[in-house]
Amino acid sequence: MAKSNVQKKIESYKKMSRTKIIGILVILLIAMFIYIYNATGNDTHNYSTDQNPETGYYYYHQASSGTYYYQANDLVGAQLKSQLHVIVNNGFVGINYGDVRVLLETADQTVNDPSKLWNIYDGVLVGAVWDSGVSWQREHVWPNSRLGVDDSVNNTETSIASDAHNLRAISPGVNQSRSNRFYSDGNGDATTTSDGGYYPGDDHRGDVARILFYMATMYNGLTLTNDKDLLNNEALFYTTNGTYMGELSLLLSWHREDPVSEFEIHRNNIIYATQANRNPFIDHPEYVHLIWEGYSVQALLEPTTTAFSDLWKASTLLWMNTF
Amino acid sequence: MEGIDIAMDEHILDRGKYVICDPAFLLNKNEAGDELHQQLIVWFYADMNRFHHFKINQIDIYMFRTEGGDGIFDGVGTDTGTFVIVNIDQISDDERFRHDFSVGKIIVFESDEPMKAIYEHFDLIFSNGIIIHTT
Repeated sequence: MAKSNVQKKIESYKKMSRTKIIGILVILLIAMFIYIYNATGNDTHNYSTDQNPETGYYYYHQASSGTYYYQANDLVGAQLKSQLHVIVNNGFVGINYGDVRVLLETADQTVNDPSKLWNIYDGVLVGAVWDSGVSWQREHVWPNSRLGVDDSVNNTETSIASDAHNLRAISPGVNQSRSNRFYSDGNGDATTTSDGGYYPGDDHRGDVARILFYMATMYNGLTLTNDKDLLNNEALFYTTNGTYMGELSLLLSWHREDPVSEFEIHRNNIIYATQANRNPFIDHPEYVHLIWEGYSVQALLEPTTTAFSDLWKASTLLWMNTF
Repeated sequence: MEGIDIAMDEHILDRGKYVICDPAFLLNKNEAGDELHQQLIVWFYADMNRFHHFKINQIDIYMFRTEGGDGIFDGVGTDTGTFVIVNIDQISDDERFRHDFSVGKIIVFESDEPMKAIYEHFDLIFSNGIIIHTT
């Protein structure tokens, strides 16, 4: 029996509706993919979701009232650095160099296996329990010889040289290679560099940058610089005139390119439980931009509508092309 | 690089003027210095718990490690967790070595008696009573 014109129109309308519904679903799926792709980083950089996906700069976060960083809110530059100096020194409980061995057994645990430590630079996993320096030793990320200490750094001493934030577990042979070198450019695995420096390795460069930022904030006598003459001047080592580390410009890049990791967050929490102070640049990585790169708070605010705008724009374009 | 590595727990040092120092500070960071440093690393970490005596050409280098890595022990600092002992006269014209011994400990052995250096529980003990505690 021949269909009436009305029935044909109804069937045609139903078909079009199905097509539209399928089309909308496809668009939504594509839009979701685009959103997730942008949010998790879409190029060779390993940026976190808390970083601008194009520049790598960390977004600004206000500290809640009464919390550890509350007094640092809205400060920038030297004022912020000075306030953080007060915050991290307030209530600080130093521990002696010998006790740091015990602390590192927990602080440097790898994320997935508490029985293992993640050694700095080579990333080797070793047994966590101290074995008199066979599997791991104590490494000063800001080298011992560049701390301005000239008398004694041994197991009974409590000083700048026993600050656990600056000490990491390290493979003995790697400790020998890194020695007292400043950090220099490279890529891939950790290695010495021809300018007298040391490249810490792709997976460790952000960690060392944030440790050095902490040290330069915690201790007023320490200075980060790009000046190779100062960095290479070994005649000043073990003196208060030889307290330079760098290269600062590389540290700033590494801080963005190797974002704050779960390992560092765990480590910061463990050290806080003992030393009663935190590394601000793990908790608020955006402070680095405000202190050393001249950024304003406003410039680092997350454009919260951007992701949804992109989603809407992509959906609209696809809709227009489909229909 | 050719040389001999004698790994024991004690060595006899001849008369002379020695410096005890972090190899990172004593060796120049130039191509020749880095090459020697790399060789020491290969030899030393083959058995890092011993007290080594490396003979490289006409130079004697004694090397031992601290118990726990970096530090400043009895006035001598290290960023490598190790110390070397070198006769200063043997390296006076050698571009691989720095000649600023300000951060090292200078020891002069003038007696005809043999100077014994014993490595015990990560401490270095000389028979004249000088000790480097690293524990």
